[in-house]
Amino acid sequence: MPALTLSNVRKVYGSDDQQVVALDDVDLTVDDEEILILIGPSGSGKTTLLTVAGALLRPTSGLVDVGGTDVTDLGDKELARFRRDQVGFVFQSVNLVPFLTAKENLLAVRQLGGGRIDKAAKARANELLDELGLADRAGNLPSQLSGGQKQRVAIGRALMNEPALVLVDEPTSALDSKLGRQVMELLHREIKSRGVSAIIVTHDDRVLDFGDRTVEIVDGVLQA
Amino acid sequence: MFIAFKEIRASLGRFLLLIGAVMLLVVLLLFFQSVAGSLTLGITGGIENNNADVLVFNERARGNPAASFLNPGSVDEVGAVEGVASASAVGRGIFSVAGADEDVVIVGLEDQLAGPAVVDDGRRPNAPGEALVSTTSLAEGFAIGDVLTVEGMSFEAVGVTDEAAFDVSTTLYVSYSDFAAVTQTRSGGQAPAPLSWVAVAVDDGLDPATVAERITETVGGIEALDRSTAANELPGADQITQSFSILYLLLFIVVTIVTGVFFLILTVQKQRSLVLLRAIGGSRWDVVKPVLIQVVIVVGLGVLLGVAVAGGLLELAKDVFGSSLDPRTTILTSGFILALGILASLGAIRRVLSVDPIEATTGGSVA
Repeated sequence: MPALTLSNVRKVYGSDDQQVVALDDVDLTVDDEEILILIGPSGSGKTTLLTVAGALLRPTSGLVDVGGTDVTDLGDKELARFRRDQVGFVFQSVNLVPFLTAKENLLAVRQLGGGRIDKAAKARANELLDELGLADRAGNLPSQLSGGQKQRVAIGRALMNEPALVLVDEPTSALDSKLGRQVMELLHREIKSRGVSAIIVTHDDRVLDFGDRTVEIVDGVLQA
Repeated sequence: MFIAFKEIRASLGRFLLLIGAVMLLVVLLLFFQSVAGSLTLGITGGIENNNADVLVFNERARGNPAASFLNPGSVDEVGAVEGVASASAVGRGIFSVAGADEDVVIVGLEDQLAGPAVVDDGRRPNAPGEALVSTTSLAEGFAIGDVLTVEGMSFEAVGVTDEAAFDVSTTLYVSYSDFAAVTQTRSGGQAPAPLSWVAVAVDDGLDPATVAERITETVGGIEALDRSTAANELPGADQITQSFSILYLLLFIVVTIVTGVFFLILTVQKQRSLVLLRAIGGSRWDVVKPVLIQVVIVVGLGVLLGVAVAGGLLELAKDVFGSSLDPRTTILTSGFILALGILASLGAIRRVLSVDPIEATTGGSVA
């Protein structure tokens, strides 16, 4: 079963003559353990596709199936639960809670939805931070971390709940080329080692090497 | 709990400031309430804590004991009304105490049972020159055995009762004959002792208000009031209550505004964090809960500290204000402030609920 299937997905903003078609009958499948790189110019619909795939945004029409679950008709509560349990997000700009330390940012995921921060959760957070090379930064607040370190913490947070699908938006946009590469190597390694699928949205050509497949979107239409 | 506490830890200074502000407002509120309570009781205590079920005044006095003068035949007329078990004369006057700046109120009782309901220490007077003394919390205290000289007559305190004073003054309950004597001495034998009001005990099982109504209808030129109504109609008590009520209202409004604005600003400042938490799967309750927990912690701590400080201050200033915290008022006020705190946070909660997780992608716009 594919990790993600988008069938005839259409997303339209506005109404009447003010309509903007962000996604135009998109059909896309992401297989298990596949890393898909999504590229396209600004305003092409990359982020909209990502948010629809991650159940942050409902499509105007079409079907969104993540790991066998049709998320198109889920209510707000179910969508929140779905995002918490099935999807890991790494956003471009908003990524960490500033008043939580690196480790607490990971643990916060476990507390959402009435969950408890037990020994297993703490062990999981420690393990992830260790793998991400941030064991010695676990107690630091985001303001005490570099850009690359913040991005690594965000990756750890995205993986904390062992999601089936990881969605990453412009992971290298705020990093220099060396740091960008390091983060991508780490992201690739973590995703592959866990056998999860991922969509990585990027402008950055250097990221293309890290995907199993690259798809381009222009004006809301996936290019063949 | 986790997120709420971690945020408090990260912004400890700000939260401590709000706790301090709430504490200060609670201190002011409780302080004013205690002082107002003492003042009011100093005015109404003599009536409120009286044995009489009904008090009968001259109708032109409008419930003011100081302005009430009845003719001596009123006692018998009132005593003859159906439902009246007993009626006795009460005289009242203000006198200067020899060698003291303070005046005292002397209440002369034909029947000592028409006096205060409770004697806290000692006994009621049963011989000439004896007095049951009631001090207000704002007046100097008396002990059994103390002697006061009024118009050349000495009165020995044989009993003490709390909070049964008139006119926020030390009040001596004496026999009516002693009251008549001291009154006559002051007037040089020119004026008879006044009959200020008639204290009435009603027959068992009867409603005092009903009997009071019947007395008023039956006896001309008088106004009979049950004890509670008589206390409420005392001049000055209402004004004090109203003046302080305005202060309470202002303080309650300030508590609400301070708490509401604080949490609203805090919510605006952490908007991006809330967006993130919602985006990664937090429910609305997940982001509202920390706000509610913080409100309860901050306002609760502020109230607890305020109660402790107000209690301490009133204890320290007992000689000046003579007040202490009333447990019932303190609990009610504390609960009300906590409820106001939660109410005040509704603005912040509304804002939290309006958070759209989609904003996590590009700060609001998607592309």
